[in-house]
Amino acid sequence: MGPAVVLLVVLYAVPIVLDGYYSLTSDQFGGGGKFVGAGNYVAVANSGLFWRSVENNAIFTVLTVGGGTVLALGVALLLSGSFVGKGIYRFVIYLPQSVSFASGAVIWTWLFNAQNGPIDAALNRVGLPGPAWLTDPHLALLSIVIMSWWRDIGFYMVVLIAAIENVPQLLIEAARVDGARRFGVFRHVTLPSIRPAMLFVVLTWGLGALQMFTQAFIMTNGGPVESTYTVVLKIYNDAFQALNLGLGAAEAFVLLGVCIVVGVFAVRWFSRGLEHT
Amino acid sequence: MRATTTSRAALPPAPLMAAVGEGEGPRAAVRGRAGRATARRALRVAGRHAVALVVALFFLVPMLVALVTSFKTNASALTGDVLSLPSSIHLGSYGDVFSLGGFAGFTKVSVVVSVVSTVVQVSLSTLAGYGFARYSFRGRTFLFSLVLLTLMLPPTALALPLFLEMLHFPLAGGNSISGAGGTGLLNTYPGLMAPYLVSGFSIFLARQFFMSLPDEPGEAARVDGCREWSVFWRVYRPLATPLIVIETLFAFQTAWIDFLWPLIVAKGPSLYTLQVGLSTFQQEFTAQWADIMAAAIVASLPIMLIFIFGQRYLRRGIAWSGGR
Repeated sequence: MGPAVVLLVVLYAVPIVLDGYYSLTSDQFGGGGKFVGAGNYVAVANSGLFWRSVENNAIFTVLTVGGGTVLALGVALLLSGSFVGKGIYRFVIYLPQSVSFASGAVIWTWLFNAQNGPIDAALNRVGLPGPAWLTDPHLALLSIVIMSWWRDIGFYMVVLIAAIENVPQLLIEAARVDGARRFGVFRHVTLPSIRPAMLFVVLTWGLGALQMFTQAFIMTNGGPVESTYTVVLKIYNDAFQALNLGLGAAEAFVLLGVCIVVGVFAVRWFSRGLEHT
Repeated sequence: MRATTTSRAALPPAPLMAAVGEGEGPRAAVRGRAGRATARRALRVAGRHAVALVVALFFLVPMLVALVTSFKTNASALTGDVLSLPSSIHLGSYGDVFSLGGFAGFTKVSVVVSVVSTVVQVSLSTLAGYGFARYSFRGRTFLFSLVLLTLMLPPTALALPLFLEMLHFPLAGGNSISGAGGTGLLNTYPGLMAPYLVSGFSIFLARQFFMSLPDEPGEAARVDGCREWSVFWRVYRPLATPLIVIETLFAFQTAWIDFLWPLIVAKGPSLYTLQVGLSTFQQEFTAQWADIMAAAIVASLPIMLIFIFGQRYLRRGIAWSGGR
């Protein structure tokens, strides 16, 4: 256990401390950084693009996780219980989990392509106009949301199915005998019983959505007109394109702070859950 | 909830309930109602299949389109009828990916990084989880809370902090003892593997697993004079095969599909993983969609295969982590 804990310190604690330190400098590649105090944080707070990224991230997270959780729950309900062929459906829906984000993003770049891309070709075939999915500023973020649903719903469906099938059958039958209808059983028995799993889904997916990078980098590179710029893409561009490590470090520190606040809340909930097992 | 519990206590046994349900009314009326009920149920099942089919197509079609397109020529993918099948199966795109795209080298890097980091991560996590589950010591709860906290720090948020540590790693890559002057562990295999060497998620899974095992076999072995290490190696490790399979699948997949970390640590194509190589390939071969689809498939193929054969274990692992 010693080595694992040491590595956790080396790979988590030390980087965070280092990041905090470098966020106070004007460090560039090859050194030569000076102490600039809170300068980088002032620059972050005054950066319109940073706040635009925060806004995009917030919209992306709400759409992906909010919509996605409802969809995953719907699919999980559809494919649990006695249903012939549910195994095949589950397998197919889970299959995109085996595709890397980079591959998935590349494939959807082609699907969404406005020149001869398959989705628009299919829409044209039935007489509908094909929108410019990735180059229309009003649609680009939504297109990435759709791709992210495709990639991740299967994972959360499996979590929710496991929880749904763990609901004691006796409770469900008892509610039916009491005259509860299908929706009543769901509302008053299933939903309260799977609350821990729902929380797990929302938190894990939410933390993931706050980090969205690969899709934006590959599919749109933040465009059009910064409508898909995310916080991590901003960190990447500031630190590795503009080579301003200090500024990137400050932005990363802010992002980590948000994650830790969410994380502490999640761990407290988690440990409470563990006491019951 | 309380109301349902009380009524459950008053519930007659199931066969009796069935008899009550069917016992009302004359026999003919029952048969008519049963017929209508059967028809209704058939309709409901059909509706359920229709919805499930539409949902499944949303997940399946993108992969089929990628596969079909990869068998076309670049010209026919760009200007031909995209919704049609290729007239003949054209494997040239896969050739392009390896000969022009340099994917053989990327594959080697991906394999080395994923295999080595998986071996390290699984060994360390299994032992750590075993320690947390089987021994009580001062600070255990605190340390385990820290492990759980790392679950909430996704690798992407840590990428730049970890990059700074690798860049300023003492005495590596021309750095002085204070970590200045050189490039540290950037552009090296250890640097590429760093974030996958340990995983809080895996430690958590291992702890949950070992807590579910009984104490008695270990106690018996100790009475027989086994040392602590033998208790783990001879008694508990053989029982932990499902755990180790799950940890291995997750660790391998995480290392294989990661994008941001290899993108910032590798300075040139000689240390590009497949994911990074794919993104540069896509930029270089603009609009050569057949080639690009072949590249996307090659970059994910190993984990797709592992997934198809190991999905039972993967799903169990997910259920363990979320459902309980």
